[in-house]
Amino acid sequence: MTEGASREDFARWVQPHLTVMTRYAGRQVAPADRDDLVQEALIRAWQRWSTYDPARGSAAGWLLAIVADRCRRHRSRRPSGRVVELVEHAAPPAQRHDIDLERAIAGLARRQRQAVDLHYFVGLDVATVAEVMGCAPGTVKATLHQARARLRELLGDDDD
Amino acid sequence: MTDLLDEMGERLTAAGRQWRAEQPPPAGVPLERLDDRLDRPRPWRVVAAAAAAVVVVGGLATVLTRSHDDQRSQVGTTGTPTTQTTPQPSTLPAVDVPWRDLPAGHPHVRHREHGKVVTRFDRVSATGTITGHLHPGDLLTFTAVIQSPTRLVLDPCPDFNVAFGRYSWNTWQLNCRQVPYRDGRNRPVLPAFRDVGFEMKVRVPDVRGDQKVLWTLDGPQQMPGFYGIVKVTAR
Repeated sequence: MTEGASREDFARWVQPHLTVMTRYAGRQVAPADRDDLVQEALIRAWQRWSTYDPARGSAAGWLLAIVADRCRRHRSRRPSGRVVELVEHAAPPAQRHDIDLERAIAGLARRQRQAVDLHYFVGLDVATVAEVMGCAPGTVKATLHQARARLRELLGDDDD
Repeated sequence: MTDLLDEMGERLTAAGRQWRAEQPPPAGVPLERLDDRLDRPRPWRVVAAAAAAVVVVGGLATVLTRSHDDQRSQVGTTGTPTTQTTPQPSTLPAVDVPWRDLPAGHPHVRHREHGKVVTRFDRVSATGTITGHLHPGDLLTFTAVIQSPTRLVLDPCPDFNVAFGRYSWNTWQLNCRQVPYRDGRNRPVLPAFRDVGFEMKVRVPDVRGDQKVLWTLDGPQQMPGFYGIVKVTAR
């Protein structure tokens, strides 16, 4: 689909998705690294653009999966001792917002946190979250349900 | 238990909306570096810092313009438009929809689902940058960037609010008629995941000092919006 396409064509194609890519990176890495990661993802996306098949999923899902991969690589390059610090810094406005909730989210299992970040913070619908996570929409709904229950436990307001 | 989980969902939704509203706008596509090889060290920080410096110097999204045709856009003042104090930057977010001074339509967008008040705009996010140094009577111009995770028909067209400082508050209708995206029935729509920039022009009221300017979309109980601080001084 992208034979002979120019960089400008790619820029126009990716432009509507820059916001969600940046938001997702912002949920996973420190603020100072966010734009670096998005740029890495854009370079990777450009280099693999010819492999993108719209019949297999949305552009947003494809691009966000690349962002997720670059963020994983970024974290793996870091010394393990700094991972906790990065998680704490992944949500810079937390100090002014719901800091208890942000801390609880950081305590979720990896897939639960990914689902919460993509759905509630990046603002994706369940179908697109499922594309990014490589699972069925029903699995995303179940993961979100488990995440909400776990958050209630972590926040200490489980009435059961 | 289900109700308690619903409460958690609402708490997450509110936290997510607030977080999105305060995120800086994304950087552009690095056309000149698209053919770079990854997985080797590169001076990303230097490039990012330089880009950030350009953005800061440019003042990003806020400009002051001289205008003689927007007298009705005042917020809490009847001051005469005067000279601008901040140069117009070249790095503004794209304006897709020009400013029009439309009175609030107060559409009925709220309804109840399963006992909760909901609107079609509950998952819309709004971002923008408001900053600058102004005088009373100037026009503060910025761009409200609105995005929906699903295609959203702007019918009815929602209102928005602008609060300038503590005492000035005004409501207008969005300029839906000039949104460049349409559905099959020629109704204006927000395409999924596409930023749509609405130009805003607000008259600076007769206040002094650092003033918080808050933009919110009207309708949802937890209104999507953003704010910035502008400095207002006497001439």
